[in-house]
Amino acid sequence: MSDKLQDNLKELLENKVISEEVASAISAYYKKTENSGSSKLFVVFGIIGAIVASLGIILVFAHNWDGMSRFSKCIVSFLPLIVGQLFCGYALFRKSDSPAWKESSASFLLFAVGATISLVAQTYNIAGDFAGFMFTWMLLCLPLVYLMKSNIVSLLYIAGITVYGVNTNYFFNSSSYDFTYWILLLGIMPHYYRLLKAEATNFRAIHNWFVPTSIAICLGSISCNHSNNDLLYYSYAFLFSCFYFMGKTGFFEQGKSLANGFSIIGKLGGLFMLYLGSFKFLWQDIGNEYFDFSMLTFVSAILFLSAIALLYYNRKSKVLAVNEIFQYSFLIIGLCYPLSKGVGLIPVFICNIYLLFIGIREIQKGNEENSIARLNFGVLIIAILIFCRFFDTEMSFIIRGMLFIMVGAGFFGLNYYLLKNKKQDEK
Amino acid sequence: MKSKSILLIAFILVVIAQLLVPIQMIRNQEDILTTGKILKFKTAPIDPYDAFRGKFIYLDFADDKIPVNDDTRKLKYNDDIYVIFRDSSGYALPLSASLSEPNSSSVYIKAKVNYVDSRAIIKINKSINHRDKLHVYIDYPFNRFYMNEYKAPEAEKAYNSANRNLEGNVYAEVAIKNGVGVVRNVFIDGISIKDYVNK
Repeated sequence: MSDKLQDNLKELLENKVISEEVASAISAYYKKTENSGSSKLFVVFGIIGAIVASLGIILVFAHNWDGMSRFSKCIVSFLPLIVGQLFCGYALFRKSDSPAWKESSASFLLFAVGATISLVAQTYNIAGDFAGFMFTWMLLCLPLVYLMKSNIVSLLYIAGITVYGVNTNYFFNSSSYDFTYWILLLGIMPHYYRLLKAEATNFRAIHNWFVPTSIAICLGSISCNHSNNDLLYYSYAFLFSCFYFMGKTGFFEQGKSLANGFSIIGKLGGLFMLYLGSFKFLWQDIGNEYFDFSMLTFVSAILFLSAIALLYYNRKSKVLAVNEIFQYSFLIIGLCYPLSKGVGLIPVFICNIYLLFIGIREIQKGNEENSIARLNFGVLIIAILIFCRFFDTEMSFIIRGMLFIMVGAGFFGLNYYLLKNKKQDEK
Repeated sequence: MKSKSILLIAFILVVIAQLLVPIQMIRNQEDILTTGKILKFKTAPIDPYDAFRGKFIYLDFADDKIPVNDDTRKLKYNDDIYVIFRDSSGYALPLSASLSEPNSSSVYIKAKVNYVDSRAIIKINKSINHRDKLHVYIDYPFNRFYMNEYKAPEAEKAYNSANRNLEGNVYAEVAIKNGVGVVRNVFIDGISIKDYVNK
């Protein structure tokens, strides 16, 4: 108990504010909390000491690594794995009620598995292939997600299979496409589904970003073995629409908007595809490709049909109103496919006008909902569109300057108008 | 209790799987090192601008090409190829290549194609028989030798310097079995590279 508290107690006793009994009880209480506090401190220092000592042992082994026999190296290589498995076993059967124990032991074991395989490979100078290593590592750790109910391992698994997917199909020019990434992704879906059904948590929110990001990164690899890649643009546009619609369903819409990765990635991705489509060069490039039935054709068709089905579902559930313009982006881009084969300027015109309408609609909605963020988002969409035109078309400096002044004035004017309305409402 | 038993069985299976993979790796490599054919592969200097790769030195080999034949002229980068060697006074010399695994009595390595001399395709189309001067270039799978991370840069310098010096005898000792090769050591003038760097 601190000196100040003791002096305070003495003062209160002298002035008969509290009785002797109460003073003793207060004194005993603070002594007890000090003990538990100090024992927690010992635990923390103990953990830090254990970590530092372990790191020291690792460094000693590392220094003497060259001088060790192959047998010794193999024994040392297995140590992290065995320690990790022991911790996981303890967490699973003795601390089953403690998520912290399960998460930390499972995470440790995930890294231990990778470390052991790497150390053995180093001992025997196995060059190997990185994709094969990632596949083995992730496959061995997938069961930990379900056994330990570990969300951290789940996130690391998604990151790991993304790295695998990128290495397998983007960097190697093989004659056939490797579907393993998609099968591995399916492996995590039961856990993800369970997360979605449970109450909203931070882990669920992070998964809502990891899963669509991983899919978006690896979708492009489908085109790597084909010379005809024009459908890749459409595949991504349809994929982002699917994400947007999925984000609007009941699974994802609850909770904070930042937790809805599907909706945000879907919208931003969809806008990005429209911005790309607003440039002539894209249609000049993909408009000249001949049609070739390939896996990409099949994937684009599946994504388009999925987007239609999700749009129908959302409209039936009344999640999206008819005048929500952005929801039709995949139809607009799909329409550009036959139009791009003839005169390449029509899709450019369509994308520009459509983006302008989306921007105006966002401004309108921002005004209706009294949301400065939404209003500014609408202005930003139009501003980026004009910025793109700045570098695309041959406009004179005067016109470009006037356009920028108009956009800037628009930002100020709209914000001023909305703030004024807000103040009036508050009065 | 039933669910706990299932959990225990599942956990044990996962533990066994996680232990089996590195154990199997060790078993395969040890089998090659103890019962495989030991051959020396002459090394070549690597591009000095290749960055230091951390804890290993990158090995490049002098005898990394084979004359093109009808099977191999159609190969492209990263395709699998089986390279059959002959023992020339303990040194491995590529003898021939095939697309299918040779019989177990041959000493061979499963490697990857780096590139095929493009003139092979042109000349064959023009029915000019110069195939024996045209080659398939090979990427051997054993191109790393792990070392202490502080010694690896010096080792790589010593390795390159010895390779450039025509009198220097630099080779990697590789154990080969069933198409798989394991690097046992790298030698410069008969001295292990780890000892050479310590000199």
